[in-house]
Amino acid sequence: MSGAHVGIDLGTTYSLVAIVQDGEPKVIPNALGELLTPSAVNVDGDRVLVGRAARARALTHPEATAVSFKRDMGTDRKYRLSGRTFTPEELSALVLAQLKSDAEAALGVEVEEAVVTVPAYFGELQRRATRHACDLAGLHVERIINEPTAAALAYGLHHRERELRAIVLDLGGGTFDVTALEIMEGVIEIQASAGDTRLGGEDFVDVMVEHCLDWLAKERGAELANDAVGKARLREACELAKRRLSEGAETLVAVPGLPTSKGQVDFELPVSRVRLEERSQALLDRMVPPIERALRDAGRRASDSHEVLLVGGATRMPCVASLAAKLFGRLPLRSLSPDEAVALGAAVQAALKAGDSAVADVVATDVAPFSLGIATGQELQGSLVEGIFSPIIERGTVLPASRVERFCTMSSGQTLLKIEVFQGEHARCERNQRIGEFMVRDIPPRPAGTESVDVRFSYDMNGVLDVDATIVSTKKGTTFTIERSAGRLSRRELEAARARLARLKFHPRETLPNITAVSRADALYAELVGQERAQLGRALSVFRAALESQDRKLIDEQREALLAILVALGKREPR
Amino acid sequence: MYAQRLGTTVDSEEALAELGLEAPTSKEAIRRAYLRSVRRHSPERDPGGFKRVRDAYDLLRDAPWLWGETLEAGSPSATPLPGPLARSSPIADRTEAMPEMAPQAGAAEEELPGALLAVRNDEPTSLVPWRDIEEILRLLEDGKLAEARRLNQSLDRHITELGIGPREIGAHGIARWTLVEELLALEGVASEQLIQELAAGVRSGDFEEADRLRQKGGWRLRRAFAAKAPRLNQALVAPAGVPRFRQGFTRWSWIWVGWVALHVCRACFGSFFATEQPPRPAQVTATANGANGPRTAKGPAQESLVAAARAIDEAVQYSDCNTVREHWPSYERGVREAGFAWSRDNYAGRRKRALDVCAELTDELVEVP
Repeated sequence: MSGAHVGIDLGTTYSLVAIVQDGEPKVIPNALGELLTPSAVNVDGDRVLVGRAARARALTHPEATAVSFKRDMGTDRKYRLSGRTFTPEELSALVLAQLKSDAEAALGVEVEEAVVTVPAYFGELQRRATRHACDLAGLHVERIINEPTAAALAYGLHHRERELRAIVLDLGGGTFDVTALEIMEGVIEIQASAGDTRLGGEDFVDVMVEHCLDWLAKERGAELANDAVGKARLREACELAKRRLSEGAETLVAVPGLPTSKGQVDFELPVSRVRLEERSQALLDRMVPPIERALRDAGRRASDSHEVLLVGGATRMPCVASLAAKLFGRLPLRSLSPDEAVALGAAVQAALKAGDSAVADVVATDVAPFSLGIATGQELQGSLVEGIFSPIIERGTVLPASRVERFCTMSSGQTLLKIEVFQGEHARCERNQRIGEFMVRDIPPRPAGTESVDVRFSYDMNGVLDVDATIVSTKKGTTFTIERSAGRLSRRELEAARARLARLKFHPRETLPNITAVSRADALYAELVGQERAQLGRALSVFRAALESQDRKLIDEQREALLAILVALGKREPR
Repeated sequence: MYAQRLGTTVDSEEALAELGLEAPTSKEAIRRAYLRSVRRHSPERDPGGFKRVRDAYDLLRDAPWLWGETLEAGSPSATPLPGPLARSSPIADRTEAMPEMAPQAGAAEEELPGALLAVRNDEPTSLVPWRDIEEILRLLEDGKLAEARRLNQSLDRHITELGIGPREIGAHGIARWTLVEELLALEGVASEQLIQELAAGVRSGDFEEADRLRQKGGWRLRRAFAAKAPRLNQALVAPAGVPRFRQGFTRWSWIWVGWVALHVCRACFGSFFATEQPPRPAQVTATANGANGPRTAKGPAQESLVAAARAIDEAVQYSDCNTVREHWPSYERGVREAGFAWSRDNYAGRRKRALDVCAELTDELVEVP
């Protein structure tokens, strides 16, 4: 049997892997039997932990754990974990490698190819970084698709017979995407995408943390001590409180023994949903312009949409749903699982790409989320203004696309033309993202404006951009491919990074549940006081003794007992 | 820079056939035919076929027979899928949708919150940047710097939030905007009067007064000016119409460096070269020095020569034969009077360029004997 074709949702807080089996997409559970794998990496010596255990260790060992690194994809930020340096690409690669091994263990076959999702509003550099991460993880990835497109595929799979216009609002942990789509004649047509790559659930947690710190400063006159563990614990408490506020109207943020500038404080602050919404009004306001822009690009009005789909964990917040309801004049649809929709859609895309007959009649078209163009100049009142962005493939163009524009020389006798390729929407190049450049040589020297060059941009479904320039008078062409592997990392650097990651060892699959149980118990231990703390401490030491004994049956029994205590005590446990 | 989109090669007959249509039909029907064709030629399995279908659809969407079709024909209540559904470029927004959308906005007013209404009821968005850029220039000319800065900020936000594309503003508009931002950056560096004069210059193209003020400001101002406003600086320093070679270090630069090096060597080791050099042809020597020795043009004579040269250069840039013909005799005369030594390179190069543009002028562009 040939390998599996899976879809991967590489998220800011959680990642998932899914596959289409018998025409139905489903999420593959990880070693712990859970569908969501937290995007967290913990490094201990040369041992790597990914997922739930690493997430729990973020509280007890913040200096050895990285979370939310997706936000730094495509930047030069470096993470230092237990004396080792990691780039965001490498950390993402570790998560991808974990997902791959989970999928292979569950399916019993190798993963042959994967489709990975990125926020629609990820730029070229961030997409390239994602491709690097896939390369480093040893995943064969040809196609990277946009998260809202994937969600639309998951939705459209069961609604192909209907004809409707929908809006997908995807508010994940770190990014916000808006996509306008239409289903007609059985074709899922994405009409426009817009978004904000730095707006997500994590920002709402930041607001909560800020609120707590303000209260601490005002009521106690104290500041948070510069202590990584204390910061991580406060943040975790705020995150859980934020989640509880999606259900109830009021909750308590409690961090016993929080280290502050005035010694340890038993931090307890009731927060109401109204208060959180007040403080996060600025974040909610930032959601409106991308929505307006997507509607404008699609040539639609807000009231035109038949359905509003909410995707991404942060859309569970009532304030987000009510914003959507207010803007579109209808209640948002909640039939899609906000956490799983993107991964399911990615699995559909992977099956489509592999030619799976069960999904053969799903047809979807996508658009370019950004304009691509080159830098040009303009003579004005005797001065030459350079750096004017001339788009060639405009945002909203259906992919695959190929467009030609003609440009002419600026000065007499010009024989050389520099073609700088930019991506973005601003009128001036310096405010857009530069993705490459090349030279057109041997233009016949003639007066300004008489020699012209045809510049053709071809953008394919896999996001590879080919640029070629032909001198009109001599028919001489220059071709340039904005290569997938080109960019910040060279081939050699990529090899070095791969070798470095290969030296790290993942914990064996069968020990993972034990490590996760211990890590979670350690994290909870710090939050408890008195009787409860002693009870957990006893259970933990019994389990540690069982681990020493290496008796399989005893370990399993004691682990179940410990997990039961964790659930009973951990009123703050997520989901 | 001039740019034009190349015409597409399919005509509407072929396009209709590609979508399986027989006769010109409504927007809605064309769209349905397109989507049915997409099912047969999906971008996944048949990219080539999809491209053909898409090109055909792009052509038919703007077909002449659809120009009369208004949005009212397909209002939400009349058909399930109304109006301007797909549009590839914001240009289409400007030309067809916006003017027609305005009268309809009233109907949807109750359902839409304030923020979205602002977009709908506004004038065509593409006009906003133009109007604002002109307004900022006017404010700067009147010396209202703070107001200009505020308007510029709101313009920037407006453009970014609505995603008004470069194509909508236009290269000329962007260039003007760039100069405006440079003007704003000069606040605190240049005097208020200078900024006013510069703003007037950007509007009218006459920088004479601004240049005088800048020169008066001394080297400190000149240096700051060049750093903060490089493009404006260029406008003041470089006289209009003289071609600037903006191609960096090329073949020609090497030739120039070589020429300079040769002359430096000759100056140093003159005697060495003198023995090696073959004697110059007598004719050239005679022309260059004339019977009365070398002559140089000074005063009004040189001014008219320079003016004619500039006029010719400018005309050559725009391939304007008449102007070349008009100015050539005076230029020719000027060169003769000034002596061939005035600039052999300039003369030969200019003559060649003029001939490139107006080949039929060979007879009139007589060479200096």
